Amino acid sequence: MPFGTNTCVTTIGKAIAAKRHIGATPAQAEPNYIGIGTGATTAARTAAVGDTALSTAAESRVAGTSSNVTTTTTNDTYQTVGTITASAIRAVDEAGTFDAVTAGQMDISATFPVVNLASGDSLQLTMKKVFA
Amino acid sequence: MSIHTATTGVSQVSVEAKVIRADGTVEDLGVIAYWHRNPIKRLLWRIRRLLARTS
Repeated sequence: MPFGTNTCVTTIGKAIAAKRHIGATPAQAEPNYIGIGTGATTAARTAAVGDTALSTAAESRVAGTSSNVTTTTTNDTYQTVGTITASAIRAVDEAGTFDAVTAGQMDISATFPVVNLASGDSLQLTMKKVFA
Repeated sequence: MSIHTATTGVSQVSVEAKVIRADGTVEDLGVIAYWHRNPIKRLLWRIRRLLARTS
């Protein structure tokens, strides 16, 4: 599949949401870690439900600030917001949310037109998942 | 009697982006990736995005 703009909850992400229901302190960690990457265009990858990782991760993941916000009905949306600073020139074309700061499982996968960052620039991403 | 089953799957996923340049300038890129389970809404988003790029 050629590169294309898309975002989706991965198949694993559905399991993450289901697992978070279990217990007062769920064993499943919150998928609030945001990562960016630069390899989707080269890899000719469009975000798909089978994704498990970014094509070429860049920079370290950040722990996003998560909250429930309202899209259609009260608190129907899981939102996580994080800001990642580029340590070098980056052509960012993919992002994702994960349940760990390294490795872990991918919840949301996204591919999009290149966002060019110079060293020292930051990219703030707001990832939203609406249940309605 | 009718039986209703609530559907509570994910209906929409979106990614919004802001670039904060090293000099403090903020560029709001808006929604850079979007999915909705309704294909017509997905198509409308793509058309709006295309129009915004050409205007």
